[in-house]
Amino acid sequence: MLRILHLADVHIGASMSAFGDVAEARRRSLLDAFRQLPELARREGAHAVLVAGDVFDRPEPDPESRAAVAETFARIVEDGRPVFVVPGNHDSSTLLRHPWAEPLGGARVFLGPTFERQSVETAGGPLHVYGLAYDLGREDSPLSTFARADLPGVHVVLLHGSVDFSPHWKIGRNALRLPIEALAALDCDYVALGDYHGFRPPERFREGVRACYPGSFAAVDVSETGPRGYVVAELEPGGAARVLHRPSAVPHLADVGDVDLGGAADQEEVMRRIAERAVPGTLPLVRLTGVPDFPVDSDVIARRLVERFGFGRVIDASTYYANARLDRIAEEDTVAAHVVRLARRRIAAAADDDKAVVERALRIALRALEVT
Amino acid sequence: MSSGVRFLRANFEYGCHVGEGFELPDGESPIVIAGPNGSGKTTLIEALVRTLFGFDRRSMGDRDRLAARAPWVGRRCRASVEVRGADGGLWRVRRDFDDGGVEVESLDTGERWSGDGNPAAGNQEAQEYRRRLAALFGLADIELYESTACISQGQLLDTRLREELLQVESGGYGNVEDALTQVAKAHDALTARPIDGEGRSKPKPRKLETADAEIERLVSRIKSADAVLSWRAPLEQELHALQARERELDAATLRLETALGPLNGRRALEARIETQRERQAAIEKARHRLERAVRQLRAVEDAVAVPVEERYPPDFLERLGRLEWIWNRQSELRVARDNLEAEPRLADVPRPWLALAVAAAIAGIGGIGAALSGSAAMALGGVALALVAGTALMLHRAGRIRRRDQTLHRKRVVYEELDRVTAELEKELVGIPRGRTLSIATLDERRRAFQAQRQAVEKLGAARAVLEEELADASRTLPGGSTAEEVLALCAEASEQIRTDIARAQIEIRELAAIDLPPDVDPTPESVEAALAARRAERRRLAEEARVAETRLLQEGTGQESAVALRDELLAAEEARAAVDREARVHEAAHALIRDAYEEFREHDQDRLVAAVSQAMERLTGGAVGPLEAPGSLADAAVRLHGRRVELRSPPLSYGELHAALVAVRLGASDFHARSGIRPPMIVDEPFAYLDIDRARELWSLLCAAARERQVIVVTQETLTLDALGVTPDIRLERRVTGAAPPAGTSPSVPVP
Repeated sequence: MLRILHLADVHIGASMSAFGDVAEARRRSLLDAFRQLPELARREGAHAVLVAGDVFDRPEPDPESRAAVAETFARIVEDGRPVFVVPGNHDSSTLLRHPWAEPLGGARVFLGPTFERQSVETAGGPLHVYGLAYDLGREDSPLSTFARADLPGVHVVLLHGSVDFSPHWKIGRNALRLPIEALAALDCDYVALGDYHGFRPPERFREGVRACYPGSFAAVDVSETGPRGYVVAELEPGGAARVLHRPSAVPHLADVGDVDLGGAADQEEVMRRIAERAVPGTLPLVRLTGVPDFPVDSDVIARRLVERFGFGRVIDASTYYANARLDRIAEEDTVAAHVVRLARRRIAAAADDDKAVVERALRIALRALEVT
Repeated sequence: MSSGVRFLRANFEYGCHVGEGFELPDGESPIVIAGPNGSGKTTLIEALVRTLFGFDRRSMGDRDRLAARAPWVGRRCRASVEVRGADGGLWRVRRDFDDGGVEVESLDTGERWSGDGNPAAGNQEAQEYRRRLAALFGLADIELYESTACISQGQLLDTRLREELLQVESGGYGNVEDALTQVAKAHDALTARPIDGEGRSKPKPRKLETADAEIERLVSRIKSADAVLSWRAPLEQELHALQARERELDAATLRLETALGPLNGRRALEARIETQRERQAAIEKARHRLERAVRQLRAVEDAVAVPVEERYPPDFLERLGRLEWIWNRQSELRVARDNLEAEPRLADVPRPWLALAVAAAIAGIGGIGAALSGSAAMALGGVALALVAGTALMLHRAGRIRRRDQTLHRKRVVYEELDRVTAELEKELVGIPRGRTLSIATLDERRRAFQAQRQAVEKLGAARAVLEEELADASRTLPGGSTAEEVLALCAEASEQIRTDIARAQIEIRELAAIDLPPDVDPTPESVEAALAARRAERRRLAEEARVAETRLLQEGTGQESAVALRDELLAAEEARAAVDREARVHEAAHALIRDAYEEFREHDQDRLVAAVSQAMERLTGGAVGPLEAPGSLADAAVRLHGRRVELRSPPLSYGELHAALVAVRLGASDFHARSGIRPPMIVDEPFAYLDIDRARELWSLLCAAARERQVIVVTQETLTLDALGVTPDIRLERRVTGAAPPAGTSPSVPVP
């Protein structure tokens, strides 16, 4: 049995702008986690490491990132594990300057527009890896160039591309499209894919397709919730792949779900409710719902989450404007009362998208008027 | 307990109050500060108010007044006031009048804030202080306070309901202005666009504009990246056309190569058949020749078949030569023998004594002669002659002996030679048929016989040589055999095998599949090879063109940025921009909410003011006076009195009613302007001046009523009136002498901090 460590979409150097103030820390965390690959490969007993594209987020990574990747690859290779890489659409080799122009830590990088084969003898047996660097200009039907060598061992195809449900499917011509029929037609034991940031094991493909997306190595934006990392695939010639998904060391985003603010006395109470549901070591995403008794400040809660969990993203869908306390305020003859009444009228008249805007405006207005 | 703000304690280095501290008692009664003229009563309440509100240094009047309040003893002018806010919180406000600085300290939490307390300054510290003051005291504008709850001496009766009261905004209805400023400030950090959608945008870009610029840059970069793709399109089409043609050629080449195999196979089979046939022909030829040689040999052998005893030796002619010589020699020797035998006998060889006798004779003769002649010489000559004769005789005899010996020797030699020749003759005749009859006479006959026999043998040898040659040839053609019979057997076997091979190859040729070829190519390997060569040449040419096109594609049609990566970046930037824009819209909506709500609120200002005044009247007079009615202008406001609507003046109001109404106007206006729920303290300077005791009592009742809901501080020198009212001053001040300390016990005092 041959074990491969398959990862993709590391996106080293990504801005992580969605993580706001902790973006830099997240970038650092990602790079640190990537540096642990040699230890991971050793621990997992992998015979080879396959990287299915988008190691870098940009075609011209900063020198530190490039050096870190080269050093990591070199350590894996020194351990006796070959590293195979295909460029992705973020670090495409079709650009004038790209990170693959020079050797990178002994990794075997596929740079041809058609399938090439690289064969190695591993402790788990012969391994034949077929890969290509997609370049529409040079080859418009690269999948048709696959030809399995008549050699004993495990045959693996390494590609960075999108199957038909992937978001990149409809984006520009730079994205390699992978029709499911074409994937099924690849006569190999395993298709190591990259590009789609979600984990998609072989059993979630059509029968006969031995493909797997490991998903992103770590979330690069807040839509990528749940554990992120890599897969360890156990392969045998002609046999079905057994795929295990492993999380990387980069803390993942955990969708805490809806937190009902009804009855919460203050922000502390809100924090307690969130903390009860958030998993330590993860980055919580929270959606506040219900009718709070006070004007919840989602920014403050987000800051508190950052202090406690290192990151926090709060979607405030609570409806403070419907609070009974505001009913009382609305009955007064004060500016605040007029604000409440006016806000309620506007919320009632607003389109759905604008309701939330006015709702939040009401809170800001009341806080500014020091109605607490 | 009222919800009003209360002064609790004060310490001053202000004017005449140097190092003085005052405790203002709690309770629901007016706090009375009494003292004669010059005791510093007005200075005291001014110190209270100015500690909170300060002096406007840009106002000449304020500057002059502040200069007049410098402590007499030359200390810095400063004061400290402790206040309980409407929410019950304790605060201390310290002010240094010399530099205008203030410190606000929460006595509950210890929180401190200090900064510029200049009431007219526009800096952030001054604004923050006014915000804090408004939150604590309800009002942040001294003019508003002095026109409402803080009533200077003789000003009560001058109280008027004025439109200006409605136009005062700052510090009026809660913290609307602050709220708007706060929201606008937050909005200002988000975007440069005007918060109310009017006016001009700020020149300096904010988050939103920065995000817009970033998006614009990204869009431009994506356009550039996409443009590269557009530029690539023709190059790609060219390359794709070349690649398509290459694929066609590859397919055609494959077709030809596929056809070439069977064609070459057929050709190989045909060649194999031809080769086998040639080989078969060679084998047959060799076989035929070998068989012929065998036949010829056998024929010759049959022809030369003679008995063994009649077969001449192969060296017969040589032997004949030698025999001829032997015979000749034999003849010669016999002749020599005969001659020798015929020579005379040599037995009478002269004896030696004869010689001696001759010699002696001669010598004797000589001697005789000598003797005769007496000559010695004769004698000697005789002797010599004797010697010569003797010698000659001896030599003659020796010669005779030698000849005899020679003849004997020659005989012996001849006989020996004859014997030897005879022996040779016998030897040479061995193996020669009828050798005994061989002689010179039969020599020719025998030679002819030998010649005939030798020719036959030569024929046989030639036949054998031919056979050997043919055998060698056949062995070369078909190795493995050593005799003609073996070779002939091998030939037969090989020939049969070849026939089988040929038959098999012919079957294979028939079994070859139909060959698929383009119509322009003949089904021959040469034609296919030629077509292949042409297509391969074109393929090489296309590959070179494709390489050039690919190089151009890489060099000219390759961008520097990944459009996909940029699009991801654009998505993130657009999301970030949307978040900022949403936040900006939220703040704009909040600003609009406050502004519009405030406008709505202000639309009812007059009603609210009138209501506030009416409520104050109600509280102060228990309903005897009021409510206030102002359906039109405030200047035309009137009060309801015993069911009648009367003007706000006396008459028709009594003096007491007027006082009540005016105090109500003051307090109502104060409450109207102060923040919700906050009632600033009422300070009244010399309220009893020029009042008789009855009116003073009415007024005192009014003040007591007001003191139930807020702190009321009354400053008066009318001690007689106070006595008449039965009021004991809470703080009693005495007339001041410059530089003198206040008399002991005149006022509760605490140390100046």
